[in-house]
Amino acid sequence: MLQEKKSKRGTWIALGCVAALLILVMVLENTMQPTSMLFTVLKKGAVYALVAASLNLLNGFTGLFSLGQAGFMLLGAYTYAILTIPSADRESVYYLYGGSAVNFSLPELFGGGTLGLILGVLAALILAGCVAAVVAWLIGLPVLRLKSDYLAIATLGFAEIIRAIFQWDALGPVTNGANALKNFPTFSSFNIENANGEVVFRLSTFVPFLLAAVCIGIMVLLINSTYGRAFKAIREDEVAAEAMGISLAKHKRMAFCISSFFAGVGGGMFAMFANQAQAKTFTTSMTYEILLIVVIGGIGSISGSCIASFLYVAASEWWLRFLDTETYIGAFKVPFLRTGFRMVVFSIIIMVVVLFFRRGLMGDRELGDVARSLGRRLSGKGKKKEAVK
Amino acid sequence: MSGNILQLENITMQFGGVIAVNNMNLEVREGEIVSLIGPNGAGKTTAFNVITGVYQPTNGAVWYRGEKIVENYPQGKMKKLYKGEHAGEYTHVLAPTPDRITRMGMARTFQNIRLWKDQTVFNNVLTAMHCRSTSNLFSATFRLNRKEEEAQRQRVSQLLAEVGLSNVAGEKANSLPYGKQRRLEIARALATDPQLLLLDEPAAGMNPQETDELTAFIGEIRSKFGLTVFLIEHHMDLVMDISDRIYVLDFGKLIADGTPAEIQNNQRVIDAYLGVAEDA
Repeated sequence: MLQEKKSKRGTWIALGCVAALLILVMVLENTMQPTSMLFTVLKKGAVYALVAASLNLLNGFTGLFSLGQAGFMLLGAYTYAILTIPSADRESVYYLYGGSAVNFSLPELFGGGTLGLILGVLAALILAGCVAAVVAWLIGLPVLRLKSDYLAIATLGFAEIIRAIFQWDALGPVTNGANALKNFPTFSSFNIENANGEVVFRLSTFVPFLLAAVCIGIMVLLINSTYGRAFKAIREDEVAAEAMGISLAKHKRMAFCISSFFAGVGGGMFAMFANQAQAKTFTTSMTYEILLIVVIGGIGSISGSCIASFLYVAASEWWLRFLDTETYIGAFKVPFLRTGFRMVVFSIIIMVVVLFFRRGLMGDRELGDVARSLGRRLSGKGKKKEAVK
Repeated sequence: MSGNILQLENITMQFGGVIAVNNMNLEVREGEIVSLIGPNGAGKTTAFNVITGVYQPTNGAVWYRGEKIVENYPQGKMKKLYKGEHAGEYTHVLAPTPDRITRMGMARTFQNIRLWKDQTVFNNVLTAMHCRSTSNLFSATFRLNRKEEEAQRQRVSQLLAEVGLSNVAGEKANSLPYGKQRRLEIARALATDPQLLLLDEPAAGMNPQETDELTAFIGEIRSKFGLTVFLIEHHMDLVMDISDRIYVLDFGKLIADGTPAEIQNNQRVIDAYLGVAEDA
């Protein structure tokens, strides 16, 4: 009983923290220069946090080593883009193929305007997730019989095949071949404008944060539910899990589909972030980036994945930028600094992190556990001090 | 009621050319404690794995509460290789996965403890209740199953109290001493709501005192939970103490069955365990 009260309080604290973070983002966005690199990092970080959490659900919580995340993101990105490009723009986007095969746009179907935009984008993102989940279910039928490395190789292959299929010329009227899909609603479409078209209130960073927070929240709820416990049981000992009545096939498929669903939603959001959807962006190296985030954050820690995703994106896109430009101090040219040097330093940093935090920044603990143990230690110290007095 | 809860019918398990279990016929009646004993490598654990669905038998059938749950016959390459008896008597394949067999009401423990080591004692038992949970993915995620969840947690506390693990509920499973881990494994099996409990060498690696405690414990849970117990064991004290009946397996074949007193005086059993003198 006592335990439950504590966990209830923890839930409220966590919700409060997330709400505070969202408000902070909103305030920052409307007070700072909108061109600041910070917002690019925050947007991409939010998208990556969602995808990393979805990969963690699979790798960290169910113990299925999959490397297909970029493939599912691609499915999501294309689904989102195809469903939301305004009908008027389709001719110009698909100019090579003489117009699109899909001739409706969800925001318009929902009546256009702000409400249409919100509903249309939400529906498109959910459908993006659904498409990814359905494909995951299909490829899961053969692939989920494999274990560990073999599963990783099979899913990696799937992601590559999907990428090739989407660049196939014959599918041009739907996927626009190897060309990018664009002109669909992006995060900036959510900025509130006045009659003159000037932005009066920015929401372009708040929206990805909100979407990612809701999705990650759902994943956390799932992980702490009875199904989440079954997933963890499979991760820790498959034989024991099966002997305790947990159907391996069913639960693995479930985890795979849910993870892919959120990767699909994340893919849709990535398209919104990048203002375009193009198959060649969703490469294997993108999966590796996400895998790296999961490993750095801690396999089996959702909050670790979130923190690591922002750190990773910030370090690779922003903080280390100066290493890429030749710099002079007076007449002295700083050695090494030139294009590409950033990635050298970045790789070294990652190696150092992996060496010193062997289980990732968070291990398999969540932020709540860390705060709790910290609190306990502090109060313990306080008591000791009192005892000394 | 004293019908058969479990019945093995002509079970043969052949790996390649080796017959691990040969034409095994065995029955466990409701409410009994039945032991399966035999020298090392006699095929006891193989028989267990056939019952719980880990292996598919090569030939034969398993009945549970009057229902045929497992059946198989030699197919493919095995058709030629098969050296056992009753070939051609079985023509169907029934091969449920272990989780389905557990949901039918049979729970097991393992020879080498298989707990979910990094989870707390409480969560180990709670997780095992998943197979009886009626909530779907949606209702579980969005906490619409609060009542069920609450009831499950209550049952876990109750179960842990009954097996004497309440005071370590919050500890990680692998931090428990060996004897308690065994107990936890049994508690976890009980959480799946079984009628038949299969224990694979529950006293393996235990000292005499722990074994005595376990003997009392098994008797206790049988009456408390209205269980039938089928166990494999090497500790003869334990076996002779609690068994209603004993089956003896040697080189894959049943060589004797009967009450502990009968088994103790059975010459074939003594021969199997001690060997036969050369000049006899």
